[in-house]
Amino acid sequence: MDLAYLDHLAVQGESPLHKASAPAKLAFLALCLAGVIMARSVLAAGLEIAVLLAVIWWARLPLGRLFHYTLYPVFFSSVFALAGVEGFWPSGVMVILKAFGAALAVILVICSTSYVEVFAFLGRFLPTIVVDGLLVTYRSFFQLLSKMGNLFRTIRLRGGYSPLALFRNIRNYGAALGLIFIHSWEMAERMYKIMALRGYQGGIPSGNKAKFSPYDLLPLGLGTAILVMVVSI
Amino acid sequence: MRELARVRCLRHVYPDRTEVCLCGLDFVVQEKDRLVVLGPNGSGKTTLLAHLMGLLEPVEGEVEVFGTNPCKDFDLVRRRLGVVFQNVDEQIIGPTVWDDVAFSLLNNGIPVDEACLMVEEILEDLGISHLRNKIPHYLSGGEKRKVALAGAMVMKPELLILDEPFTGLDPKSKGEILEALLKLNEKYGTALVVTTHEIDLVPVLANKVYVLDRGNLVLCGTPGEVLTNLEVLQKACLEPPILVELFRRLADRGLAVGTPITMEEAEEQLLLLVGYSGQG
Repeated sequence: MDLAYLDHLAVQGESPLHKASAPAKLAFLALCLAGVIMARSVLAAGLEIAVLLAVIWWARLPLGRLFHYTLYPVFFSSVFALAGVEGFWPSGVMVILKAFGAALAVILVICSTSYVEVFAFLGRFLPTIVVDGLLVTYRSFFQLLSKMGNLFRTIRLRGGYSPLALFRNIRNYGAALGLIFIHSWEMAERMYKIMALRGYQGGIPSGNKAKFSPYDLLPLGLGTAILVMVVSI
Repeated sequence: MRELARVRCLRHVYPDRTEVCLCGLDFVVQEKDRLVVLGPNGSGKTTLLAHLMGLLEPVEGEVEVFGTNPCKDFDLVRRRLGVVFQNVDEQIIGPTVWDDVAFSLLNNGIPVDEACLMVEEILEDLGISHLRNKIPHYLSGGEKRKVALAGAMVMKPELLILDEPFTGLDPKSKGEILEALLKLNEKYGTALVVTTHEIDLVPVLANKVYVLDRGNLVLCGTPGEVLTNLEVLQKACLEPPILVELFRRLADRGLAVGTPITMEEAEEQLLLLVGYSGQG
């Protein structure tokens, strides 16, 4: 469900970061991740996180919600830190900060770059069939999501969900997933026919080719600044 | 007038053994036709369209599109055919509106520069140029329908097949789609084959109407001939347009009125009835 929300944030956003091209933002991501890897002190990692949080706030992205997504890597890195780093707490904190920083950078880029732009960029390197697969998956995902939402809503409205009846819930939602599978199968058949009728010969056009714009200077400059800052501390 | 398609007494059996027979009158589409197929649910409308597109092969009977068997010469036929399905969400493949409209052009090897011009022209025709960079699943139902229509029309097909194009649209969007279809028919001479339950739109849209009743093509004629034939419409479980129903009731009460099928005709008749001359 959250993929739709992230896509919505990326497509509807109006900030200068949203307006920068996908290659520039992917370069920004690479610079940030390099910064995370090269950070040698808690201060350096902490400063990078502070800058990323400031950028998220400035790009008018919902800080609280995005922070929630970073909890997954933070949780698993905490387990790793507790299990692997014995006694020396700064090393444990570094592991957690690095995971948090990397997750923030990835989420920031995902929430400000539409999948379409990313796929168009990937299309320059990946085989056509792979990019077509990604694009069709992207389109189908939103259709299935809406079907799934309707189906789950119907189950609740028709009394198929009760907080205390775990087994009945599992059975009902299992049946619903089966139904979704059949729907998706039928949908795939229909889409195949449509693509044949529309003359698909291998290659969904993606004219969204990134062009350099002044907005690109922002992620490129910011990424470089983060890396320089982290390395110099 | 050149004949574009003909269907003669076809029989189709689906994998679950459901049998659909389309017999009775021959189904004929001619150049520049605006043809509407009326019929209740399950009467075989979608089966008929699927045969015209070459997606199904009949067990018996004859289907000819552009003088050839669409199933055997699928590639040949699909280049001259445009299709808008009922569920346009599944039809829009491109990641953006521009990409989707350009889909058929680029897959048919049309050079990018030429494709750009053709895409811009059709977007302009349908008044959706401002949507060109939008991502399809964030569009409204009416906008999606227009994008699908643009994608189907961009190759300037001789025949455009639309399966219930007005379903789920608000009155304004219905009007816009109707206007777009008439414009495309006029500008490019594209013949239209439309299935619909929107009987009130038929007089404006169609120049020829077929009525399907349980697999039988029972009636063919102009909208005036078909929509005033209440007996056939009722037998086929179809409701006549509200104007036809109203004026038939007035006639039954002894008023000297005809059976108008458009608002203008009805207005004229009512003014005559109340003796309004239009001179104050």
